[in-house]
Amino acid sequence: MNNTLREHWRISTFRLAALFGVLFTFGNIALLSLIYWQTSSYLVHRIDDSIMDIASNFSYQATSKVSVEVREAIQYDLRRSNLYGLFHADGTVIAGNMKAMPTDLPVDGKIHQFAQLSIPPFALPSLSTRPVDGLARALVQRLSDGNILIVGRDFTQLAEIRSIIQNALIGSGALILFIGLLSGFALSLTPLKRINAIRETSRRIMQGELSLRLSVSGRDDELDILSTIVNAMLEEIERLLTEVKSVTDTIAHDLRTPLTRLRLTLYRAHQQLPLDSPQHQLLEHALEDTDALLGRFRALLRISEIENRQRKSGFRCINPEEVVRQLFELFEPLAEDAGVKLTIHCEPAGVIDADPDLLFEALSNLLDNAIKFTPSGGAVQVRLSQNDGTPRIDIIDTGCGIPASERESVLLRFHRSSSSQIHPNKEGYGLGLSIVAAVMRIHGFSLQFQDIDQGTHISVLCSNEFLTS
Amino acid sequence: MQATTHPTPAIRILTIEDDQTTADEIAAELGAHGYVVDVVGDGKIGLEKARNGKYDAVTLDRMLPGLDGLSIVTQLRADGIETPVLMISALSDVDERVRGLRAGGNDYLTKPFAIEEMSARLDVLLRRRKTPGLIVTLQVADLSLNLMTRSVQRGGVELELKTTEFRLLEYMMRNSGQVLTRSMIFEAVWNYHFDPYTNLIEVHMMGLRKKINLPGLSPLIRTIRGSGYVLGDP
Repeated sequence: MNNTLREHWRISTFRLAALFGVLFTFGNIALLSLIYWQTSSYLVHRIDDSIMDIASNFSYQATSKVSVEVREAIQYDLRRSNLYGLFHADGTVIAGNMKAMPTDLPVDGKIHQFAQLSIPPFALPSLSTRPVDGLARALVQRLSDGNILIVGRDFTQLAEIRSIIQNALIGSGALILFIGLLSGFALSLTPLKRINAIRETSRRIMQGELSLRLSVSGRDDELDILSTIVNAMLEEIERLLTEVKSVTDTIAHDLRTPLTRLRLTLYRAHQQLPLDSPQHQLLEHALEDTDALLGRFRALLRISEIENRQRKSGFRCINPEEVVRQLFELFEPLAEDAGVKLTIHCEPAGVIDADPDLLFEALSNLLDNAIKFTPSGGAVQVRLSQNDGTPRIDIIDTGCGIPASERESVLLRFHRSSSSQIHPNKEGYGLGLSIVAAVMRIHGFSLQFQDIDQGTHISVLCSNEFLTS
Repeated sequence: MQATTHPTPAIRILTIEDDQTTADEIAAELGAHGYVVDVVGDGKIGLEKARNGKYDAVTLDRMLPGLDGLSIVTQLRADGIETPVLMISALSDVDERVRGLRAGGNDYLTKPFAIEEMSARLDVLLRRRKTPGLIVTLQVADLSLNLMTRSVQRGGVELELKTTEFRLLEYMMRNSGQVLTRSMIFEAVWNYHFDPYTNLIEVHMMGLRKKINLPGLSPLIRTIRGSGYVLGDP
């Protein structure tokens, strides 16, 4: 299956899975933040208690006495996790295990937290290479003689806990997102497959196979529910279409019989009347008009027949060049008789999927019109070429042309161009182009009028547009 | 058209058609051609008669009470009866035509039709039975056409014909003496089944006529006004 990521993204299952992935990640962040916050405040509480404990051992008298107390305290601090520092007011060290006075530390008799890279004697080589920012908390107080005493504890464990939680957050977040996307991808495969099946079925229904139905998987999920609704709708559409078709057929049948009778009766009267009778001429005219009527009637039926038929039943892979050559063979004498120079020009254009009979009929109509509306001495050219990878047939004449404003409407039933009123003796312009339009429609081909200075230039673009889309 | 006398035994036609007026007119027209016509309005009775009566041809409506035309022709062919059948139908769809011909119909005509068209087609069907299968040379009066060498001679003079003209002439010579309508010619020579426009067939016929009507010799192709063409001795 070669679905694009964009197609997957359109599937709601995929979006849901991705959304849940993001939500879980946020939840995870919240949870871990809470744990961190709770843990750190607990630790701060504990450490502050012990700092107060240690601090209570000092007398906060003169510097000389305190420096002795500091040294003793360091000596008795077996776990070596305490921090002592006695500094002059300008920040120089007097005693203790701190290398320097931390900057920006307010001396206000309260506990503060500051960066402190471990306590010097215990800065293990392995630890020193680890880029963990050391932390410490300490009580900062000013002695009575103005010097500063810092008593505190190493608090690097908070930084460590933070880094652990951060790692957990990144790791689990990535995992959750990855699992979310992966499961979304996997879960959307089946719906995508089913949607593609629906697309394929709909395409065939659009091409006239109205009896087809969308498949229902039996899972009763939303796709099934939708398919069932669409199927019910298709059922109704098919029923209505069949009804309309049968009504049309019935009307056609009902009209055909009286028309046949009319023609038969007229013919018989014509046969029975003596040749010298004055009515003979009248009946002959009536017969001619009836034949014209029957011709129009057949053309009308033909249009609805083309529009109604099972679209692809007559479709084959054909070479348009053959059609063009046959067209030339059929129309050459007609053009010659009309004094019009008919030429064809064929370039290799590939094959097309078409109903050869219908295509020939449509092109015949176009060519017939081109010859009919080109005055003697003019020229008509049929050109087969390739346009954007699909065959294209151009019919170019030097005739009277179709005004740009009328080009759309000439394809409608019963339209007769105003310019054709100049040629009242030229029959059959009305329905022929409607047949062409109907044939183009069932093929998905398009018909274009090109602008030229004189005459008409019609192009048939043989790209099976809706068949491939 | 004039009524011509046919030698006995008379040619017998069975017309299965449920519309009385149409049936009467068909009978009248075919009667005028010298055929003996039996008319039946019901499908089942029609099938019985077509089976047992010795008919030379059957005209068969596609939609009938009792049994439809398609079933009748299918049944006839299944029984091994090879009587030529001209199917007449109100259904003109190409698929319908193909279905009718596939079921065993020999020709297919769509309503509304001109009766001359029908009798012309029936004549060709009746004649087709008699022509032998394999022939090399077609001969009409002093016109001869060789199917192997694809050459045409008129009174000993070699004629140059284009492919289309040759096919047209071949079809007309195979059915010489018969009225051939424009749509019959269009179907047989070009194998297309839509209404040929304007005077397409006429101009082809004109071209062919010019080539075979040599000066001093009698014209072989005649136009039957309003219906079609006949090739043969005047």
